[in-house]
Amino acid sequence: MSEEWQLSNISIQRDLQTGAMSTAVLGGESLITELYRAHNVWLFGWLRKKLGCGSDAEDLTHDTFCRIMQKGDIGDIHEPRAYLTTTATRLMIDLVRRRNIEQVYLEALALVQTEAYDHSPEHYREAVETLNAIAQMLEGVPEKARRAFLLSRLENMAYAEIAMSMNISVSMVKKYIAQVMVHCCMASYAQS
Amino acid sequence: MDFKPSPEVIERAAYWHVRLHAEDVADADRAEFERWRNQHEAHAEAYAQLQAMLAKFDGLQPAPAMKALEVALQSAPTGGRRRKSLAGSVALGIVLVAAGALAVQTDKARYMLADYRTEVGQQQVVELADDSRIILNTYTAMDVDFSETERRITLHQGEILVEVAGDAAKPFIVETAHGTARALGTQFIVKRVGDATDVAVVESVVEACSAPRIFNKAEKQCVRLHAAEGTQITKDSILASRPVDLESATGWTAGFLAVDDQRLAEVLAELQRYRKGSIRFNPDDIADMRVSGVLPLKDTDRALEMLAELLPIRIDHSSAESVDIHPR
Repeated sequence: MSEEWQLSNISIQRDLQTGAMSTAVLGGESLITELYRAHNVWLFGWLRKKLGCGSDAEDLTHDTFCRIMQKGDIGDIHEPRAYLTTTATRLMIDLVRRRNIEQVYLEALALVQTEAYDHSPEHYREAVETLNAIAQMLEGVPEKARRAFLLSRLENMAYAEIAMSMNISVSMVKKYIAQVMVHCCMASYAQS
Repeated sequence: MDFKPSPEVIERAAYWHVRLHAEDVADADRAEFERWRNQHEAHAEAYAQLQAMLAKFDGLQPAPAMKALEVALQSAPTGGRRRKSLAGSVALGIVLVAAGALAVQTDKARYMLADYRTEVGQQQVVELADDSRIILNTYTAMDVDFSETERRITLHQGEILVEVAGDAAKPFIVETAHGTARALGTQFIVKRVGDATDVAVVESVVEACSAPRIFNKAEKQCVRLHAAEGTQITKDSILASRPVDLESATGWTAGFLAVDDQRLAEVLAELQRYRKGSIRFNPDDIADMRVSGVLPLKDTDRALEMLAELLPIRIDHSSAESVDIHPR
């Protein structure tokens, strides 16, 4: 069951069972309305300049305010435009990265041609979402460590094989893999 | 996630995972692992969460997934907004503030969305609204964010030299993943090497600070630097100030790399930043070679030839993409 909130031209869905958005709506309706009225045109302009595309900018303006409502801590914003651009930047990076991943994954997948593989659109979408989440998780990991980890996890290569292909020691491979796993767990906590 | 094990326990769990997946794992290891896991609820939980994280990779096609992640996370040059190309050399005498950072591994999306960016081998001059001027070195991406209270540059990757226009009311801050350099006066340099950011001051005073980290509640650390002093900021720490050679730190703005008794491997790594094709060498072959001189950055082929004249090395143009350096 869900309830829809109309806010100028933003509509926000609220799940009545989980009440996920109740704080933002109950405690901050006038504040977010104010925020929206004061800055939505400016944010749209800022996004259009960054993205060079009006329809993407429109979507992301909408998504930015939705995201802020979901967070529900409207009362604490001191620099509204800095706050909006921080949220919008996160969403832009997400959008561009997802498109990159989508393109590269699908192109590479076309070359694999395994019979056993599920080529349904649902599967594609799911894989792209998963890869996007993984890319976000791996952000900030040094290149070599990431490579060692991915060779192990994705290609299922043995440590000795990875060591040989990367021209590093086996103990370094182990160290890299452990380091990336710790980073990923921490990143998951930071996101949740 | 309801329960968050401490970083130490996660590290231990990661260690166990790696050990259990080694080719030479023994029954004794497995038994020891079981003991550890049963020792505490947090141990079992950390290991379970680690496995859940790894399970996210299930169901992906290995080669396409690998390629997609490499592309998404690598900061490949894809062209950028250009202002002015760097015409000739920049007069170092007028430099007020210089800031730079050597490439950090940033992701491609961040690079593409940056306000200003340069490709490999390219430099660019940007004039800012407050009359400050920034020179971007090769393969650099930065955002400019001026507010009522401060002027902030976010350096995602690469190296910049900033000449700050005086404005006592608004501090000028350059931020990287590792920390910040804040101009208290008007002249300073920042440079990023590997997993660290180097800061050096040309004139006046700069405050360099480490960035706050997740799980590290400690106060951020700051070091105050004066002219011809520098420091290094890493993930965990900031070093005490030390003297720096300003001529070599700012040489790139004039299009040259000044090296003084430096290891050849380091010099080649520096040249690589300006060259699209890779420079390949075996570090063991050239381990004891050192070089002094001034190399042109706008013609890296010429720079390599000059190195071959100075040192007992041979340059093989093995393919269009790469050159191999061999001892003679």
